[in-house]
Order: sequence, then C-alpha cells, then structure tokens
Amino acid sequence: MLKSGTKLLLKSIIGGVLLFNLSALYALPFTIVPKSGTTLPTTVTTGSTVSAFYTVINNTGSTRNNNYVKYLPPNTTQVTAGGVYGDTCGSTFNLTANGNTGDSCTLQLTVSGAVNANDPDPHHHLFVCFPGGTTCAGTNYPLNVTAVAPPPVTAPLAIAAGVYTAATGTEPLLAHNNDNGVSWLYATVHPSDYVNGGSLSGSDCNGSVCLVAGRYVNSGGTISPLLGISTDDATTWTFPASITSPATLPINFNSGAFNTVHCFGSLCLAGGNYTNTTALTRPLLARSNDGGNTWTYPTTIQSNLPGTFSNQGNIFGTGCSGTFCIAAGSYQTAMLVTTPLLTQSTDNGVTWNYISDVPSDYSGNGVFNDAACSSSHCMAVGRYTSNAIGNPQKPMLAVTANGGASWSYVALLPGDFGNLGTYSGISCSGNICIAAGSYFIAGITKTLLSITTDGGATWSLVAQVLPSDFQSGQYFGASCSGNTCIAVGRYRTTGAANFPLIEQSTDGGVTWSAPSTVVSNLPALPGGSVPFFENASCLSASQFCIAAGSYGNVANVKPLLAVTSDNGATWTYPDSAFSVLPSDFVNLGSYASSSVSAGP
Amino acid sequence: MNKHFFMKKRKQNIKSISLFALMQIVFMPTAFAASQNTDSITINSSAWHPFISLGAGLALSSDFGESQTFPIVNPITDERYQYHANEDSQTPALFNVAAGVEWDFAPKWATQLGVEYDQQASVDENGDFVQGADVQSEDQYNYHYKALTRQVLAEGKLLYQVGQRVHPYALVALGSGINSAYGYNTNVPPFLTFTRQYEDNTETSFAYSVGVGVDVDVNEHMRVGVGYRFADLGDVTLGNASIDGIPVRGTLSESNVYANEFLAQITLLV
Repeated sequence: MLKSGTKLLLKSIIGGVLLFNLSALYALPFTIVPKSGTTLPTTVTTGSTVSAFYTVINNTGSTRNNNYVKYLPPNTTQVTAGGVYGDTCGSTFNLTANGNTGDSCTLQLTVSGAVNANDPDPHHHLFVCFPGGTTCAGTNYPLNVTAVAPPPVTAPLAIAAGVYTAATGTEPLLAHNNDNGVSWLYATVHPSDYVNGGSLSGSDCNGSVCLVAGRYVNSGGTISPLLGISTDDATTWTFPASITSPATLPINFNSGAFNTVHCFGSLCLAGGNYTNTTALTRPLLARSNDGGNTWTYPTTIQSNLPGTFSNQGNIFGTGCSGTFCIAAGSYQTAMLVTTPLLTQSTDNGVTWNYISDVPSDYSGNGVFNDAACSSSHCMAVGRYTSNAIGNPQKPMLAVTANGGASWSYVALLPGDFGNLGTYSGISCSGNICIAAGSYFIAGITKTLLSITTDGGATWSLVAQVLPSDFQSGQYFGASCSGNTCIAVGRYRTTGAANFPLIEQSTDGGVTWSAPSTVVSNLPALPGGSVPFFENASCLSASQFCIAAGSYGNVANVKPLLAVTSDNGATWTYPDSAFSVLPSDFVNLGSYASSSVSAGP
Repeated sequence: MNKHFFMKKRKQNIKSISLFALMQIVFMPTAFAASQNTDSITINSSAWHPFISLGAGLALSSDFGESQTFPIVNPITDERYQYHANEDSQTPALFNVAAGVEWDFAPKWATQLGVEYDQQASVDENGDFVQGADVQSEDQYNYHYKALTRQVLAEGKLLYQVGQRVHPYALVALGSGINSAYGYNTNVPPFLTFTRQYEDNTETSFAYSVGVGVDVDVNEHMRVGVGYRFADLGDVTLGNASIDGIPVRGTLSESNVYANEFLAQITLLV
C-alpha cells in the first residue's frame, strides 16, 4: 500500500510539473511576442486608431514561406505595407529557419476598437499560419483594448463686445454664442450701480471664463471702469468690487475707462485711462493674479510715468510672455505732442517701468494701438511721424527679444508706401505673429499686413491676395490661432461699393486668400452702408473664427458679425446676430472686441 | 401442473409478444410450427420453455485506446500528430438482457437459443499526443474521448443438470457491436494553436462472446447464476477529422476491443 501510494504521489508530482511546464512554454510553429521596445495598447479612443507591434519568429528548423495571418481580433487590421518598421510582415511573408537572419518579422496591427483578450471564440484571436491554414500559432500576449469615448466635443465659446445706443444712452453690447456661431444671445452687463453710459472695448475668454472691459456711468454720475467676469459661458456677469473700490483705485481717481483686457494664464491685465481730480488723464492699468476675480492697480504705472508726460495717458494693448509683460498706448507731452507709451514689467505685472526708445527717424506724434507677445518676443504696434522729408506717418513696430532689456523698431514699408501708415492690431500664436493696418498712397488707402514666423525676430510683408475688385481698404484687427491667422477690415471696390474684408491664412502664413463668402454671404444692407470688421478672434482647434464690427450709414449704424466653422472656407452672417438685436437697441451699434475660447 | 398452466396461458398470448415470435421464427422454426398446432401443445409442452434473463456485472479490459500516428504528408503545410493511448485497465459496468426458448432435448441436457443485448458503461479513452512541424517546434498535449460499447448477439447456451438444481453451462454468441465514440477533447490551448478535432461517430462491426457459468434453480420458474465471458466488443472509431474546420485524413480508431466479462444473471422460465 505504501509503495503504491508513493508511486501515485510521484506520478502526481511529475504530472504536475509536466503540466506546469507545458502551460508555461509551448514550442509552436511560431513565437509571437510584443515587439521589443513597444507596449501593446490598452485603450483606443472611439473614432481613432492605435498600433500594436508583435514580433513573429519561425520556430521550426526550416525556411517557411508564404506564412500569413489567418485570424485577427475584431476591430483589428494588419498593416501589410508602409509599416513603421522595415521588417513589417506582409500579407504573406517568408521566414528563414529559426536562429538565422530573417527568421522573424514585425507584425503591425491597427486597432480601431475594443478587443477582448478573453473572447471565447478562437477566431477572434491572432493566429499566424503556414500555408494551408492548419499549422498555426497564436500568442500568449493577446490584445486587450478598451474603447474609450473621446473627450466631449464642446462648441467653442465666442463673445463679441461693443456698444449700442438705447433710449437711455449707450449700453454695453455683449453677444455670446456656444453652438459654433449659429445662435447668438445678448447678455446684460450692468454692475449693481449701473445707470447708463455703458460700453465695452475689450474682451477675452479662456475656457468658460470670460472678461469684458469698458466703462459705465454709476449711480453717482461718475464714469467708472467696467470690468465684468463670467464663468457661465458669458450668460451672466459679475463685477469685481476691487475694480471700482476707492481703496484700490489710483489716488485722486475721478473717472476712468478700460480699453482692453487680456489674460495670460491666471495673470490678467486691463488697460485704459482715468482722469484725476485735477482733470489730467493718466494711463490706467489693473492687474489680477487670480484669473480676473480680484484686481489691483500697480502704483508704478503712475509713479514711473515718463518725465515728458503731461496728459491724455492711455493704454490700448497688453501682452505677456512668462513673467515679462508690456502695456502700450500713448500720452501727451506738455507741447501737446501725442507720444507712444510703452511700459514693461519683469515681475509678472507687479512693478512697471516706461520705455523711452523710439524709432530712429521718430519726430513725434506716435501711438501704440496694440501689443502682443510670441513665445520669444514681445511687440507693440502703432504709428509715428517720421522726420523724413514730408514727415510721413509710418507704421510702428517695436520688438524686444530679451525681455525688455532692449527694444528695436522694424522699418518695413511697402514699395509704394506714401503716408498715413499704421498698424492697428497685432496677434501671435506660437512663433507666428501678424501685424495689420494700412497706409496711404496717391489718394488710396491700402491694406498693410506683416508677418513673422520666428517669433518676431524677422518680419516681412505679406503678399496679400485681395478681392479682384479691390480698390482701397484697410485692416483694423488681427487674430492668430495655431496656423490660422486672419486680418479683418474693410475695402472699397473699383465700383465704389463697400464691403467687409478678411484676409486669411490657414497654413501658418505661407498662403493667403480673401474668402469670397465674406462678400457673397453678406446680407443686403441699407444703401450707403459701409460695413467693416473692427476685430477678430480664432480658435484653430475648432476651425472657428469670428469677425466683428459694424455696418451702416450716417443715419443708422448696426453691429455686424461673421463666423466660420470650417477654418475660413465659408463665412456666414448669423441671422441671430444680424436681424436680432438687443430689445432696447435704437442705433449706433458696433463691436469693438471679440474673443473665442474652447469653452467649458 | 403450474408449469403447464403457465405454459398454456403463455401460448394463448404468444402473438402479442413479438420478441418471442421473432426468436421462434429465426432460431426455432420447428417449435414455431408446432406451436401453431394446438393439438401438439400438450405433447411438446414439457420440452420447450420460453425464458428471459437479466444480468449485470463488470467488463474488465485493458484494450481501450490505441496508439496512432498521422505523419506529415505535405511538409509545407502539415504537422505530425503522434497519439499515445493510455491503455490502463478499465472495468465498466455491464448490463445484459436476453430472451429466447429453452429446449430440454435430453435427460439432464437443455439448450437455450435466443437474442441478447449487452451494453457496457461508457469508458474514457485518453492519452497524450505530440503535435509539431518538426522536433524543435513540437508540443505535447493530452486528449480524451468517450467510448460506449453495445452488442446485439444471437446466443446459444448449452446447460447440463447436476443433481436436482445445478446447471453448469457454456455459451456462444455472435452478432454486431454498435459502438459510439464521442466527446473528443484536448488540453491544447485554444488561443495558441489548432489541433485535430474528431466528430462523434457510431459504427457497427462484428462482435462475439464465449463463456461458461453455472445456473441454479431457485424454484420451478427462476434460476440465478454467475458466468464468465470473453468478448470481442467490436470496433470503436471516432468520426471525420478536421483542423480548424479544414478536413484532414485519418481518424482515431481501435479495432476488436476485447473484454473479460463477469456476469450475474437471473433467468425466468415460463
């Protein structure tokens, strides 16, 4: 009995060991293992694909020709040509005897959906076979891929901000949209002490948070800076108390207004002007380091004003790159000369110093209209009067490549430049920036468009492709996002008709065009109307842009808004923003600013 | 007297018992002819006794399973399959039923002629096999399937009377084995390779058994007995083979499954 029991035990142990070895290692005709240096995918986003790479090795001692993949898991296809690796297995493939060069190839699979490693059907698993399909091998490393839903696609959030006249006076005009530009709604932007006199000049959206800036008349009869913040897709607005608190406002503040607001991450800057109790108008700059919820007015903006400052200080544009920020505008000297105002901060907007650099041929009467920073440079654009013969007004483009340590001016003029050159706006996206404006020659205003693709180090004039009937025109605004840049304004045809103008590039400034739908889709306008776009904003990820301005004649001016949701191929004028206006709209409506973000 | 009475009643219902009619037609035409003549019933009633018997026992066999090899025919496409059967002894239960007539053809001698049906409990046929294109790529797996053996035999049994109650006997039975092979399975990982698969199959082949034993009268109508038989149960063959649905040649089979059967029986005489 003992002998028999011992034999049984030994048999069980040997059998168990044998079984273990069998389950752990099979010879099989092929060894199929994940390719070294790669990892099998575990997730695939619905609607997209991922790749899986296996190494298929011939385990036999002879060359095996015309092998093939007999079965693949569902949602999986074999890449038989143009694979990532040079030894990609074809639809049939030959392998030399095991141990020789060429005894393996790389099996590249494209996975487009879920794959269940535990699928009970063998035909839903990878099998590589000899010709004939009866001698086959699978893998100990089956694909197990979970399909995950793509991140919810939300329509971009777009706003256009401006002003219109109601029966009670001017009102902030705020149109917002969250369905790719189809249905626009109007929001009320009234601080609690709002009386009238409201208008909006600047706007900026980041995610679902939007800021608008402008002015209003409060219950005390004072023109106050207006800064609204919305966190619900621009539907409702709140107004940080620190903007209008006497405790934070500059000393001797009497009245003021914002022209612009922009956020650079959590740092936001709002620029404008205020008039003090001695009737001097000084630049006004507010800073928020919490995304626009609370604000301060950096005192060095006032204390470090240029020695030549006398009056009419104003800030029209801001820009930041890292902790370096600039604010640009103008002021007036005691000799009533309008002078460019450029101030910079190297500490995230806490303290500011003014720059006195001017173009080498500067003679006076300069203004910075806008500012922006690329990933490596910061720039301010505007105009100045040259000391050249005839004292022409030239476009001005100031650039710093070293965080404000030094500034240079780009002297770039069209060959037919005559006079009245100006850059109205500048916009950057990565290393691409465009500056848009106009100049004058022989009685005609012409569009001016410059571009840099190296962050601002070198600039060139864009060879614009304008409408065939273009006679004269000008740009008032610019926007870049990704590889999409647009410049917007107006033009007059050779037949003396007026149309809005959009010049756009969707390939990073390589090619440009003036989409015809800007004109062809323009609704019928009252006779004598001069439609134009004052500004624009794009979100290339959504292929979405808006252009905003106004149209009308002397008697009647209304806001004008165009959108594209196909990266500029087609521009339309949503009726919800064209025919439908705020219920108390009377006249003189226009958009001064616009912004597009990815939304919530 | 009781035997005669019982016999009479049996004769009156004979047409309704088809099995007995069949036996008489096949094996005992003379007796059948005589039974049609009611005048001769009394004359022959003491010589002819219909019987039915039931038996159960064990069939000892080490013959289940047969090693086979399916060689590579096409070296480009094929693998070699070498099956090695575990020919372990198996002792499936045995069930037996028989019916026929007994003829007391001489003092102390009688013979039984009839039809019997034997069925052995299903047995698990198993073993291991090697599969591979060559030695370095071959793997070893296990396989098993079930075999169910049944026989329908014409039986002849010669009995001798010792003393008043004991009847040693010898028998011979010839007929058909109706054997099923089914449920082929392996431990080949289903997601790693394909292997030969076999369909279920039932096949008829020649079968026989010879044996000896002893019956003992319990009373006038009942005997009990024990016996030994050597049986050829016939062939056991699986059905068509395929690999991943592709038909391939050959199948697993074993011819002439032999068994030593030990049987206890109870026989009713009417």
